[in-house]
Amino acid sequence: MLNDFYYSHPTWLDGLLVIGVWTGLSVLGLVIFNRLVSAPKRAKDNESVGLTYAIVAVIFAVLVAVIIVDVWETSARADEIATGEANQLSSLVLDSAGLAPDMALSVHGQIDQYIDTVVKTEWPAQQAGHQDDKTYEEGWKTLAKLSSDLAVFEPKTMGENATKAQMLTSVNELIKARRVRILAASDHLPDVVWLILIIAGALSVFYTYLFGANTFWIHMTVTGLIASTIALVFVLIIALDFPFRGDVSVSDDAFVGVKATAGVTAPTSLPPSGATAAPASAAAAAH
Amino acid sequence: MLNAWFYSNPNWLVMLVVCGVLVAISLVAVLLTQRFVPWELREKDTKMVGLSYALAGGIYAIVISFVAVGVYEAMDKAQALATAEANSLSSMLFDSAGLPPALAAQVRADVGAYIDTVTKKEWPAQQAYQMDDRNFELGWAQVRKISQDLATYEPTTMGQEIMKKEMIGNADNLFSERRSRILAAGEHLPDAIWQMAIAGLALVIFFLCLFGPKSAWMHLATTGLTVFAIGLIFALIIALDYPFRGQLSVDDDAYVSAKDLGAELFTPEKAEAPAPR
Repeated sequence: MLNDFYYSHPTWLDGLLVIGVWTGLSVLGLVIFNRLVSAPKRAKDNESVGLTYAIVAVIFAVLVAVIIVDVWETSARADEIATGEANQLSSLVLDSAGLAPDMALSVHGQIDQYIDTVVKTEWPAQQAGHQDDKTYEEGWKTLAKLSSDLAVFEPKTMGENATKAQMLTSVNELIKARRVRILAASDHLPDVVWLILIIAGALSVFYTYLFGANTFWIHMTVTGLIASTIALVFVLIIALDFPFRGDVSVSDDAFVGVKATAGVTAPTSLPPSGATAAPASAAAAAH
Repeated sequence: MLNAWFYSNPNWLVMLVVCGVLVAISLVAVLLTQRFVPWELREKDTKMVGLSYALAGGIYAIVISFVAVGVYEAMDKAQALATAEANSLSSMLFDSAGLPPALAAQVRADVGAYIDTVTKKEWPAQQAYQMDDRNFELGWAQVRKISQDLATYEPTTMGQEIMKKEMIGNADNLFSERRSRILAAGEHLPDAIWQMAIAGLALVIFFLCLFGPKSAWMHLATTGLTVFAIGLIFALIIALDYPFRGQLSVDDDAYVSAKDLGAELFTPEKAEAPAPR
């Protein structure tokens, strides 16, 4: 519910809301605490509070750093996974030129359909966080058909033999890459980590209440700044978490690019016989 | 607009301007604070402000350092992608010795033409961040042709069959590495992270303003130096971001080297140089 809100709004708006709510609650807490325990009473122990606070600060800073690195790396890895899958599609399209024309036509048609499924059905579902099996059924079916067509294809020449071997490797890699991408799409920071982060953040804010300031508005400002810094880090983690959702997410550019760059020819436009995989214009441009 | 300026000027100038602007902003903020918030008020709570600043400053320092490490790693990855693409081209040149002479000559010529396209057309486009598809169309057409020539080639011996499989594998790798390189050339630090970094800096400056040291110039000096240090990290991130742009960027040496080696070993008069494969 909350995630749906975060990832359907721009990061700056999420940032303003998270910082606003977290900081507002922190300052409100200080106002209440200040009424319960008088400032002069707290001021006597400012030194000991400060020294122990240093340990809490280090623990929290290290915890936050480790989590940020983890979500950052997960996000970068997801990008590589998607590009790897698109690359296997390109390889299949290119290599199909070495197959019999009708087989090449069939491979192009299936890859064209697969890319459409990924871009038009699976990507929007991943962006919306809908990870149920039904979303991926069509893509799996298309791949199963492609894989079995290649597996039962009987080469008639040595050239076709070499092409079949290479394409079987590519299709197997494609299936692996797809599975890894689907798993990565549902990857996110575990709830328990969020719970610890929030408790540690609240603890760090609460520690500032223990100081006894001479001027209350300076105390409020300090607490507000600490809370804002912590909230800023939370926003960064939210933005990087769920690698396929939100403003900062893996795009489908690599898949969209396969059609144009590898020369996927729609079945209706592929010449019936003696066809080659690359469009004539592409070959002409190469000269 | 701002990026075009950053990446068309030397790093030392960008560093000076970034640090200068940030320090100036922070000093203005301190001067305004000194004017409107009495020193006595700030001085009494300096200890509390300092102890709390340790947490906010610590978190900010760690986050900004990891952003710098992140862009550094992205640049390393981009360099590795370009080298892998050049290696695939080199492999194709070497393996072509196992093809019939006419096809081998064609593949070598096509690989040479492709390297020219990459170094003379695509690299300057990447440097200028002109990433529209038109700048890469010719290169795509050239790799498609290489791939297609190899895919449609019909071997007549078992050795040639093995060579064909190896070479279409190389052509597939070349295509993949090319795509990864072009995608990497378009990548940069997301705006959201820049927004966080700038908002965090604003919070740090705010904190620094709350200090109440005995002398005003010391307040200015400590604030200026702290913000200067952060400005240096910002300048480093700018220099490392956009891995194919600016003074500090991935170069095309690997491609040039692959082409030079190909020309050295496989020019017609030296065609007999490599051992039969």
